[in-house]
Amino acid sequence: MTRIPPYGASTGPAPDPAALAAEVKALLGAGRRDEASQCFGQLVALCQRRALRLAFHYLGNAADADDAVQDAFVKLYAHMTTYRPDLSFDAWFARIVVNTCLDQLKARRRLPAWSAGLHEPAWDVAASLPTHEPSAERRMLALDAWRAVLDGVRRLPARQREVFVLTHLDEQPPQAIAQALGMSPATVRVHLFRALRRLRAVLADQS
Amino acid sequence: MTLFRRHPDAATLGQAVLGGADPRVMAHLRSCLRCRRERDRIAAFLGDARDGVDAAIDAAFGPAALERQRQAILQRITKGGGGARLLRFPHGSDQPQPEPRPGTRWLIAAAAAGLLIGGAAGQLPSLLAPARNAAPSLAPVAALPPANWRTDDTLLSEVEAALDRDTRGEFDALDALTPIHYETR
Repeated sequence: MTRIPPYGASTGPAPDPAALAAEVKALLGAGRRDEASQCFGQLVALCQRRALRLAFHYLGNAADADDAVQDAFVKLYAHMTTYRPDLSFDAWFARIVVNTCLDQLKARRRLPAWSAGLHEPAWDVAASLPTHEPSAERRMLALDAWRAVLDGVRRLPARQREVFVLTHLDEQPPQAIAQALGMSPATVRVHLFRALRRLRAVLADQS
Repeated sequence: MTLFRRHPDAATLGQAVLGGADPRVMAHLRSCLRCRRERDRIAAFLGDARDGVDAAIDAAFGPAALERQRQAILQRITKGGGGARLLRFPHGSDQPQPEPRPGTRWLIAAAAAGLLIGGAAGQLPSLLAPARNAAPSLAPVAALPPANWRTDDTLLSEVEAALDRDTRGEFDALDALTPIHYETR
């Protein structure tokens, strides 16, 4: 039986998410729940921004992104004992985040029309950025670019959108996306090309 | 020499940026300055879009908000919440209903059967005596004799007796005034 050292005893470099996930799984398996949740807290800190990036892009709204990220991490912890270290943690985690966002979009569609305004995209985020900074103009341009891409991405079919978001925002290689979405790398490339064809006008207009 | 007759479009160049492009496209890009510039422009645009998301996250989630979110997640997992939060319908108990035991099932079945038998027994007398509850008959009700029926009977008897008499003196004056048939001819 492998002996698991006490959590935090290591003084080496910061572990990567996959190593942390493996450690959480081992601690949960050994019944050391307090240490597991402590270790999981470190994993959350490492992956939080990445999850928010995906959720924000999917949901376009800070409050919904916050909810989705929390739900995704709780799901991740609940299924941590099924984690397979031989497979890509990044791909697995991305799939959990994306599925959580899709669930939230479905729930949003079921909301009555009167509450639709509560979920308007947070375009006014741009307005809240400080304008006196030298980089403010650059950030405004970046937000404009994101708005244009997001506007096009929202019209994509579900699969194409998933592949595009994971490729573009999560910067995952086709193999990892194929693993996350349960399809072949060739199919990932086809979906990506079709998504880009639909976004062609968005890409070509930015001259 | 370029392998593509025409320059690749924005979608193909976008694929070259994001990975997974055809090797022929990559070969074309190596030899075509115009397409390389276009690819770099698309790469910059997609990079800007990524930065835009990050800027939006920075604006909405400062370090304190990120820490609050992390604490909220840890609180949820230590409370033992396995799945995602559910908004339950505000009625009834959150606890799952226990499966009834076989003995309980028999009791429920016996109670239901007793109820049915009791109901049927309650209806039995009315089923056996349908006339009691039958609709009222439409046959005419026999008329009751009037209170002065004996008076009328006496009158009729007197009329008959008067007709049976040979002479009727009450009508003599009237008879004298009435012309006789053979006298008018």
